[in-house]
Formats: sequence, structure tokens, C-alpha cells
Amino acid sequence: MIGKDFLRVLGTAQRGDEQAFAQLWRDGNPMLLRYLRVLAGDAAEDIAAESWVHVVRGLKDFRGDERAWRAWLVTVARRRAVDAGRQRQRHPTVPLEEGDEPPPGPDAATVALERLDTARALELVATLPPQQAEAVVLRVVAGLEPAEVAKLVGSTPGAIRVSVHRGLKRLAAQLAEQHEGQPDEQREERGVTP
Amino acid sequence: MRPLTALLSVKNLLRAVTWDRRAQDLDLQDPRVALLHSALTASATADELSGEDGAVALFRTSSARHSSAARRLWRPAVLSTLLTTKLAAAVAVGAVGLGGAATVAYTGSLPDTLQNAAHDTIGAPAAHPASPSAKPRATPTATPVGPDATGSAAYGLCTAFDKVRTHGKADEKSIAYRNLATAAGATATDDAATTAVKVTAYCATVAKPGSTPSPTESSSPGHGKPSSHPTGKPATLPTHHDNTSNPSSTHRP
Repeated sequence: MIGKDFLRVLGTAQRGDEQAFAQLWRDGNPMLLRYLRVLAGDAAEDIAAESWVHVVRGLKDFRGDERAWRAWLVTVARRRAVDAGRQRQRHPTVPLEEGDEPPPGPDAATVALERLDTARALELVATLPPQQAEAVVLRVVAGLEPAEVAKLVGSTPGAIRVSVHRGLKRLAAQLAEQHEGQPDEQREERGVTP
Repeated sequence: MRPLTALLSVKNLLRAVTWDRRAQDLDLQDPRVALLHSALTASATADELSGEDGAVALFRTSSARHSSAARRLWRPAVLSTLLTTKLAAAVAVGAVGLGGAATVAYTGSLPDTLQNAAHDTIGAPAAHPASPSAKPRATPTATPVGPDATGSAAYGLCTAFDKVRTHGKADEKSIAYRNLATAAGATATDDAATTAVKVTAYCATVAKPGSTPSPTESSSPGHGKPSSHPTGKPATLPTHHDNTSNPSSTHRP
């Protein structure tokens, strides 16, 4: 987040200042990539690049604060991801209903807390049911309020809160399983009995 | 990556990630949720920022050419289609007069797609159907939408041509290729093989952007292996109706 300087930076960028635009990009692109990583997997970079083309074109017409700005970035990216059908590629199986237990992700069982960097955390989020995953990443990574997320994905603020809460708790439980055991190496050294 | 123990023992960090106590769906008192939150909102990585030069170049182009003829030539639908692959992006960036830094930034790290991207790039502008939302122009064939191959686009086009030739044949019907052929001095009466030779010779003379291009009209045989049976794949990338172009209407606070 850029914070209190946002409106000044935005206005400067809208007048054509490259440094100001670069600041907007440096703040927005990581957020977009993380969002798209969950939504569209390997297509994230391409969709992000397409999204910036659109954003640059519409920049002068944008009016709003920083959260509105982030919501717009996400909206642009989301539309491209969905239009391109890339979301379906990312989740090729039958969609899970909210509340269904997802199949354990390939990485979920092997992520040690010590190795939980951004990329691993995004992989974990991507193992959630798609709606939960998107709610989590929009809420946490994009920093949007539940009402903003709800508007963006066509849901209700209450449903978003539930999705985010359940999603995070589910991931936390997976991490907990890891954390409550000893590190793998030690466990193996001691054998099966504690 | 920091050790878990360090993460959880530093109270300042926990305090930092629990800034939004109103948010009941984010139970950041749960250290594992806080840990997830921290990882998901960590500072940008170098990879995530690697495209800055390209993005700024795009911004510069957009600002400089906001009301010029380039706006017509580089209609949004065309440009965003080009940008669907990184090599295509590189060519597009080169074609609108930008430097090598932008190219490097957007070419990134997808070598697997290089060949297809180059192939599509050669064909993309020509075979790209006018989308319903595209601004009207005279006729799809009378108004080339490909880059001007005599300008700074030449280097990018020649690079793409070279990649395609390595793996097969260029789509000679594409406007990009025809522009290249015209710049190379080929005429409508030249057959495909002659044209390819001329393009090869021309591209051998094209300098990188930044230095002065020195196109020649030489038709001396090049070292390329021209084909008289082009099988270039036309671009079939769909265009999407662009209905997010007025952000202020939906996101005005």
C-alpha cells in the first residue's frame, strides 16, 4: 500500500509522470501477480501484463482512493482471467461447493512452517476451493474490505467473511499439523515411537 | 525466509500484522493465520518487480502517443492481444519505438513459449479479426495494423522472423511480414522465395533500436532457407469486449 501519499502519486502519474507511475506499478504489480497466481496459475504474468495495458489506457479517467484503485486493478485482471478461461484451466476438476473438504494439495502436507514464504503460501491458498481461495487472496493480499470483495466477485460481505475465515482456518490447521510434529529429520531419526 | 521461531517470538511482527483489529474474518491473533498473512503480504520479490522497465515504457508510449496516429494503429484489442505472450510483448514494445530495456523486461523467462510466441507474433496483427468493439477503420485489409517495419519496429520484427524461421516458416500473409517484405524492397510480383531472401537480407542490415537503422534494398541472396509453401499459423487469439474501460463509473468512492 502506498498510503497517505496515494492521491498525490496517482495525480502525478495521471499527468504523465513516469516515476509516479512506476511507484503505482511497484505497489500494484506484486499484488496482481499474487492474486493471479491463485486465480490463474502459470498464466499470471501474461494476464498481469495485459491488465497493465488496460490500466495504463484508463489511468487518466480513474477517480478514487487507494482501495478503489486496487479494486480496479483486480477487476481488470479478474475479467481477463475469467474471459480467457484461464480460471477453469487452473481448476479443471468439478467445482467444489463452499464447505466441501478440498483434496489435500500436493504441497499442503509438506510445507514446513519454516519454509512458508510467499510462493508457498500462495500455493497453499490455491488448494482451497476456488471461491474461498479468491476471497482469501483479495481480502489479504489486495487488502480489500469484505464488502469490496463481495462486490467484485458477486457475493455478499457476510459470505466473504465466512469464506475468508474458513479458508484461513483450514490453512492454519494444515500448518498446525506440521508445527505440532517435530521437524521431519528429527522425527525420522527417532523412529516411529516418540 | 525466516525461521518460525523468530517470526513468532518477535512481538513487533505480530503487532504489525494485526493492524486491522476490526476485521473479524482475519483472526490474526491465531499465530498461524498471522504467519500466513505475513507470508502473503510480504515485501515484493525481485521477480514480481522485474517488469518495471517494460511497464514504464508502456506508460511512456501511452502518454506520448495518446492522440497520435499510433492510437489508431495500435488499437487496444490488438495491443493487448500482442501482450498475451512475452515475446509478442517484446515485439509490440519494439514496434512502438521503445528501447531494449522494455524488451528485456517483458521477455522474461518463458523460453518454452518462444517459438509459438514468435510464430503468433508474425501472424497476429494480420489475421486478427476486427472485434466488434474495435474502432472502425476503412477495411481490414486496406489499413495495415502491423508495425511499421522501416522504423524501430524492424528490429523486433526481424528478431521474430528469425525465431520463426528457425522452427519453420513465417506466415507470409501476415501484415507484419508483408510490412517487413515491403521494407525489404520486395514487390508484389516477387514470389515467396524471393521475398524471403529479401527479408533475410534486409534483416541482416537492421540495427538494434537506438542506433541508426540502415535498410538496404539489396536482393542479394541471403543465407536463409526460404519456403515457397508457407504454413504459418494465423493468430486465432480471441478478442474480448473491452468493458472495463471506464473505471471511474464503477469505482468512484
